[in-house]
Order: sequence, then structure tokens, then C-alpha cells
Amino acid sequence: MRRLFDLSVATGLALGLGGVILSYLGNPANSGICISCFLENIAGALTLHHEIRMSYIRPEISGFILGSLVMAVSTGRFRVRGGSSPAVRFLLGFFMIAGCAVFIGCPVKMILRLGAGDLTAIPAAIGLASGVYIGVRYLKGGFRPDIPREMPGINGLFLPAFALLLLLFLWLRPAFLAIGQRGPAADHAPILIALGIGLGIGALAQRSGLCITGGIRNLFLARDLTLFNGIAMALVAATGLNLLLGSFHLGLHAQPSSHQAHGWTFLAMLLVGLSSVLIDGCPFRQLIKAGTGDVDAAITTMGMLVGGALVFGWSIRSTSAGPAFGGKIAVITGLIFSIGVAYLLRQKTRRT
Amino acid sequence: MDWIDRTSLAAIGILTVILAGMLVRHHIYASLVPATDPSQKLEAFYERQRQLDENIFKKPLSLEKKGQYTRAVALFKRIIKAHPDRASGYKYLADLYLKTGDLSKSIHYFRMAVEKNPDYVDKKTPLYIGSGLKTLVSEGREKLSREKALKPDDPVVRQALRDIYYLQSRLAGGCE
Repeated sequence: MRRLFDLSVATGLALGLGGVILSYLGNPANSGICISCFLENIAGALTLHHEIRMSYIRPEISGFILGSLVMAVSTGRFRVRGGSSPAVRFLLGFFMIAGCAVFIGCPVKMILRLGAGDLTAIPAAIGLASGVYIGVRYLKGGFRPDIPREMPGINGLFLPAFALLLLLFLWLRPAFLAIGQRGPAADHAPILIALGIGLGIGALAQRSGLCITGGIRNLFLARDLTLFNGIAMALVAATGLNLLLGSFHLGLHAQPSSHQAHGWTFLAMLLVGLSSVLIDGCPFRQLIKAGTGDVDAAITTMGMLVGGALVFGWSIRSTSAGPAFGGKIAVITGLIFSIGVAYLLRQKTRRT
Repeated sequence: MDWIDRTSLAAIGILTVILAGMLVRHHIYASLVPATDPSQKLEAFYERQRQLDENIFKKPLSLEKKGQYTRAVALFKRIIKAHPDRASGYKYLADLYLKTGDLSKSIHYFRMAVEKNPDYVDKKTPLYIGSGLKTLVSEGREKLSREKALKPDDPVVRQALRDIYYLQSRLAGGCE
């Protein structure tokens, strides 16, 4: 237990410092690490959407998956399993990214935004915790997704192979790839450093099991602080380094990629929190799990990638002006879907 | 290993070799063709846009030069109506309102220009006007905050402050 505690704090430290360092080295402000933004970028680079300003292959994502794979294989934890409500997971992955797009950031970025003094991330944190709390109520009330089963090994290698292919694309730059020369796409840290940080964090996260929503869930469910300490450390580390680098700006206004629609921020992250509990992990955790042979997490990641494309195609996102109409509809639809899934997969104790 | 296994492995091997050969050949040919520098391509794009803007907004710009501001504003608005997606029109109008001292309208049109074309707040593009905009926004915020304290329910002041918050967030950068 002690070792796990240390590892989750170490992972939190790496996540907090890594996020700020990546921003310092060129990634967009407060978006040193953001799974949803990065998946949107990758979707754009693969021309799944046509917003060239958001089109780039972020090597951090490949790093997370491959770091986790290497750690899982080297410690004998690579186990290929899946088959637990794949279609539901795919759609929840999609809605998770829709929620993130309305807030403009995933739970990791929420921590980084808080660590940079962005007070607009507070309603997001409250929303995320509320969503997790509702998810925990469903867990306690009998929510059980069907149990995953062992699967042939090739299934577990699908997402790591995709991660490798992305790196290959980034290196070879095939003609069909769209890489933006302006906007956030042009803001990126040196490739090898970004990949290295991704690999390191991926490996650590595989060992520690750090998950933003998982930490909050364990706190609500079992008063277990192990993972939560990692989250707290990520926040402390990001705040400390931002203060040191002069990138800490406390306030509600003039914050990068933020808006003032706090009610929608709350609801969007409530959706992310709830759906994360239902599929056992925040967007970051899904990548890590996919690297360990979890086919369900790989399918969720594909749902997230499709989400990353459609947030632009269907305009289900926010800008600094606030959420688009499509974004609001997606959040409400996502909440209906998540609650519907939680309701339908409840196994109530029958009274005799 | 039966004959189906052997045939499958042979097929995979042959196809892999063919694939690798095709990729290498393509790569060699591609490296022989002089590659277009993406930044040059982008420069040419901005130049084309600049020329297009000059043509579209030629008349109101010349009116502005002559100091006929009211007529220039009316003409800018008419052209913007016909070309609602050309961000430069909003930017020209914002500049003009700034010249005439109408701060809230100027800020509003700067916001619209940035919404239509975020390149105005992107340091990597030749359209970047962020430095001037930062000064305008911070001065405007001070002035409008004072006005808001005096007239808390004035919708014009409230809208102008919302525009300022939008511009501040865009100027701060981020992933949007």
C-alpha cells in the first residue's frame, strides 16, 4: 500500500510538472497535457475534421500508450481482456470528449488550469466531483457493467500499434496528413521531449493506476486517499512550477482557452465525471489501460477519437465566447445517455 | 503447421515486402521533387488575402483616408453585409471606430474580427495585432469598469465588458 501511495504521488508529480514544462517548451498555454485537445489535434491531422488550426499529431498520446505498454509487459501485467459493453463504452468515450470540449479541457487540463490560477476551472472541478459522486451512488446502487473476458492477444496490440503508426506518420509526414502551421497546432514542444515525457508518465501511471476521476471515486467510495494524493500532488506541482516560471495568473478573466459560462462548465464536467465512473477511468486512464491490453479501453479511446473529430464537425464545443448550441445539446444528451446506461445496467438485489 | 498456415505466412511475407518496396520507392521519388516550404505557401496565402481585401474594401478605405468617417462606416457595413465571413472588414471597422473615439464599438468589432479569424491574435501569422489589442483591452477594461460602477445595468457597457473578456481570453492563448 505504501509503495502504491508513493507511486501515485510520483505520477501526480510527473503529471503536474510535465504539463507545465510542455507548455513552457511550446505546447499551448495551460494545455501542456490535455487528452481531449490532443485527440482533437490527432483527429484533425488524420483529416477527420478540417480545422487546420487544430491539426497536429501529439506524440504525448503515443507516449502515454506505449509507456504503459512497456511497463505492463516488463512487469507481467499485460493481459488482453475485453468484451464488456463495447458499444456503450464507445459512445461514453464520445460523450466524455464532448463534455471536455464544452469545458475546453480534460480532467488533467482542469488540474493544470487550476494550477495556473484559472478560477474558471473551479466550477469544472465541482462538476467533475459531482459527476463522480453520482457515479459512485450508482455503483453502490448495483451498477455493474458486464464482466470482461480474456481475448486473443492481437486485440490488445491494436491501440499500441495505432500509437506507433501515429509516430511513424509524424516522422514520415505522408501527403494526406494535415499539420497546421498556425494556431494551437503550431504550438508544440520538441517532438522527442514530448514523447519522452509521455513515455515516462505513461509508465508511471500504469504502475500507480493514477486516474483523476478514479482518485475522487475511491475517496467517495472507500475513503481511500491513495490516488487522490496523486491528484493533489499534480495540482501542487503545477502550481509551484507555474509560480516559479511566472505563468501563474490568478483570476476569472484573461485565462487561456476559458469561457464565462460556468453553469455549462459544471454540467460538462459532471458528464465527464459520471461517464468516467461508468467506464472506470478518465480519458487519461483510458489511454493507460489501453496500453495494458484492455480492449474495452481501446474501444473507448476510439470513441474519444471520433468525439475529437465530431466536436469540430458538429460544433459541439466551446470557444472563449462560451458553448455553442451543439455543445449544450451534446452535454444534455450525454447526461441522458449516461444516466440511461447506469439505470439499465443496474443489478438490483431482489427481495425474496 | 499445415499448408493453410504456410500459405498465410508466405502471403503476409510477400505482401509485406511489396508494401515496403512501394513505400521506399514512393519516399525516394518524393525526396527528388523539391518540397514546397509550408511557410512560403502560407505567406503566399496571406498575400492573396491581403490583395483581395484591398480590392473589396478599396472605397471605404479611401473615404477613411480622406477623413469622411461617417460615409466610410456606412460603406464598410454594407460591404460586411455582402461578405460576412471576411474578418478584415470587422477589423477595418474596429480601427475606424477607435479613430473616432467609440471604444465600445471598436472593441466589439475587434472581437468579431478575432472570432472570424483567430490569426489576428496568433503571433505566428502576419495578421497578428495582439500587442496593440492588449493595450486597448486593458485600457478599455479600466474605463468600462468605472462606467459599470456608475451604470451597472447599462447593456452597452455590459456587452463591451463581455467583448473585453472574450478578447482577453483569446489573447492569453491556449488550445482553441
